[in-house]
Amino acid sequence: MSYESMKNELIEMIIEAENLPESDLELINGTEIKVKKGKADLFKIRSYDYFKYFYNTNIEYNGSVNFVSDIFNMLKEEMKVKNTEYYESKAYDISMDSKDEVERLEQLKSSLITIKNNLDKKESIRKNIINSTSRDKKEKLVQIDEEIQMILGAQEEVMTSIKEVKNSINTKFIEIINEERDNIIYDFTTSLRGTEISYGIDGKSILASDKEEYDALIELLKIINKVDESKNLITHDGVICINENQVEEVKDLFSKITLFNKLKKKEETKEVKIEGINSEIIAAISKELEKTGKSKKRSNLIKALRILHVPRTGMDIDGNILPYSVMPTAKEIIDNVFIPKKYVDDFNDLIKNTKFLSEYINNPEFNSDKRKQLENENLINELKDYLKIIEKKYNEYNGVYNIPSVQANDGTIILAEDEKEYNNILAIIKLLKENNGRLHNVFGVGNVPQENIPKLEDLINNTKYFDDKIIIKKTSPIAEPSPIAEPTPIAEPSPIAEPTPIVEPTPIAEPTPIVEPTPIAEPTLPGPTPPTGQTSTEPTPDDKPKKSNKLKDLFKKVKIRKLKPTSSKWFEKLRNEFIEYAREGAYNLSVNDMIYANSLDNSPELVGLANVVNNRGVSPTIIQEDYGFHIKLDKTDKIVEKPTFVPSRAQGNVGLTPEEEKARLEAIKILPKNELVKKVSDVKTELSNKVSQLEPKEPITTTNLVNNIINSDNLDGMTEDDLNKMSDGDLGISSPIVIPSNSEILNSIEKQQSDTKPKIEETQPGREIVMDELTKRMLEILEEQICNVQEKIDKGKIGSSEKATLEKTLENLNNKREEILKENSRGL
Amino acid sequence: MNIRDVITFEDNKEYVILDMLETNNEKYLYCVGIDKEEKPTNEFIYFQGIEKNNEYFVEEILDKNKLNDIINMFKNKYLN
Repeated sequence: MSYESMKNELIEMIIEAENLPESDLELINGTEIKVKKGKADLFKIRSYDYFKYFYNTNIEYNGSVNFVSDIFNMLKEEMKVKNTEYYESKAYDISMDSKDEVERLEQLKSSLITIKNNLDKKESIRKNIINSTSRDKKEKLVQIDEEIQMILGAQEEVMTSIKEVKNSINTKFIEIINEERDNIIYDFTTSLRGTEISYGIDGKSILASDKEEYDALIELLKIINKVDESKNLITHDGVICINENQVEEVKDLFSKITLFNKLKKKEETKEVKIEGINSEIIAAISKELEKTGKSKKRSNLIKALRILHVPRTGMDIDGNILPYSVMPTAKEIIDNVFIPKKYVDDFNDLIKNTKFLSEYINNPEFNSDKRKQLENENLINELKDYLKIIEKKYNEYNGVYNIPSVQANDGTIILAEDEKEYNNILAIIKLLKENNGRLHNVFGVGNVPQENIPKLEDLINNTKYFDDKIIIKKTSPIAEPSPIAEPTPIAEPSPIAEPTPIVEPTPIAEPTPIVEPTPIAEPTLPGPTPPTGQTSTEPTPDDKPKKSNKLKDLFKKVKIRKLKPTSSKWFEKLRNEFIEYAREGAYNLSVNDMIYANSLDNSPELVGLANVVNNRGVSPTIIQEDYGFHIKLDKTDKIVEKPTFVPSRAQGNVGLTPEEEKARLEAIKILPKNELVKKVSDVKTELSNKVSQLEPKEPITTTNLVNNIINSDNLDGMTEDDLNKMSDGDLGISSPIVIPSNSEILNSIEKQQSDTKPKIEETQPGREIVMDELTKRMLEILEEQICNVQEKIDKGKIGSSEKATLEKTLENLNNKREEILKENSRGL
Repeated sequence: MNIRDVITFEDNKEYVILDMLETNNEKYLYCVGIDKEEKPTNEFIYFQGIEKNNEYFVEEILDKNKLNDIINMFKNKYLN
């Protein structure tokens, strides 16, 4: 059984029950719903099937009959809405049908009043003439009588017209009454057996539930027949023409008739300003309808209105509630005019066949695409002129100089040096002529459909003509509807949400240098982390910044003034701090870069590696905690929250809530070794690329490398191979390894010993093995250095003083090696 | 648009240009917000600025990649 059949059967049972006497009804167990005797189980079964179908879900029938109530209430509501929509629509139609006559009647009444006033004046004049003793009294009487006759004639004409208009209005109304009566009688004839019946005051058989309405219709007919044309006539609710003394009675009868009850409400809502989706075009069509008589155009406009109302009401044009949201699939045919997909063809037909709609849709005032097409046309003309200049250039040089020429894509002969420029312009013109779909502005230059944006961006970026032509044509902060700005799907059928505006992300929270001058590398440069997989580059000042395609729309006009001299102190302080941090940032991988490394796989080990490479000696926990940067990553390592700086958290986990502490521990957990080894290699390449682009403030020395390795908390997670590579300079560091001074080496190793030894003894017995490995690695590195120094000495292409220094260094290194070996043997 | 200039938006929000760099006719501004008494707020923003026919226009740089590029350009400015 189809969805519609199930629904219709249920609705029939509901209607049937409404028209049956209580004695013929049966209660569905577990509910308060009554249906015709013998149909309770059928209703339950149909409700069960319909529920499953409608909600696309399988429910277990466990004795609960909640689904019966759910479906019953839903269908009742739907019937109510459908009924309301039907009557509102019909009421609107009948009031609009009589609109012209009602207006005409008012004009005639106004004319009649004027005529009567004139007549009164003339009568008064006539009396004065009669009472006068004037010699030309007779002539004057003849004259005034003629005038009075003329006015009486006009009055007769107007009254006749009033009568005609009154008849016209009331005839239409009688037709409507008879139609409603027929409907009620039809309902009776199609009612099911057992339905409670009654009789109208004219003796017709009707449903008992319709009696009040039917009788009211008959009463209205009687009232219409009693209208006295000689008395003042008024129109009630724009559909019936009656005498003043009949108004109250008509009002009472109207309240009993569903259709006429909607008349006033419809009239009231007509004046309400419509806001939201399609509001502008709906308002424009409604206005047009007011001055449109009965015609094909009128029916087209009404149909257009019904379509435009679909996304607003969540009901289709027949008044059926749609079981899905319309807006996600609605097509925005012009600015803010959304047409549900299934009605797009119908609406396009209406546009073709209705002058008003066609003019509205193609009006550049409402249609930004049309506006953009005009902009494109102007640009195309401009570009064609430019092509002529290039062509002319060839003509000027041709024959004078032996300059190579080529044939452009359109066959024009141009100078070879202009080939790229000319062909690019041709390609741009071609793109600008493609007007399929909504157009989007690119760089404030031209407008193309979404799919052509990258092509046009690329062409503009590679065409000299546009180098200085990124212009601002519109300074309004109101952005055009962006392709990403999908309107909010409608959750409920009635009030439809406005398309959600794009909320501009707030700037990243930055530390205030004045308040918290921390030794962070870049507290004032917390730019967002580059997304995963993208290499952060250090562009030279000559690098062309990427042009934004929002250039035209997002710029805001500002005024410029000078800073007051009294603000110089804080200004200089802030500026100097920024320069200081920027300078430091120029020599080091930024904190952001480290967060980037972290974002690659959420591995603090990699951050540690970054630190080692970068010679910063900062541990991942410092990044996370001491530096107070907090980031949140999702399962695919995309940043889901912007990095934020929390100065108060800059000293470890003090003040963290249990949840935050748990998150902190989770963030710094050590990855399994095998995973790390794989990732180290990937990130190393990434980092080495970055480092190679930097000019280090200080050369990366072996000493520092040693220090970093010693100070790093992440050695546990690194393989020997990794460290060997690091010592080999296999990290892409282009700077030469500078031989450390004796004191540097001694200090660094002594520092290491003093720093690490107590830890072993006091709190971390497990680290004893680590230290053993560490010492071994240190020795390896020292031996490496010894080899390097020895090699340099052996090559012999150095001065005597340098050779002496190197020999001394070699001696120190050997001594230190011996010391470490001794120390280690004692420790063990 | 120069360093130390105050830029005022239509809604009267004001920012001081702390630092600026210019490339390809585009200006990039590092600014701090100021209050009515011309004291700095904790709002630090990067803008792209354009001057045309003695009128000034700015756009806040929100695109992550672009912002990263701008920050790096500021770094490069102080490299020499």
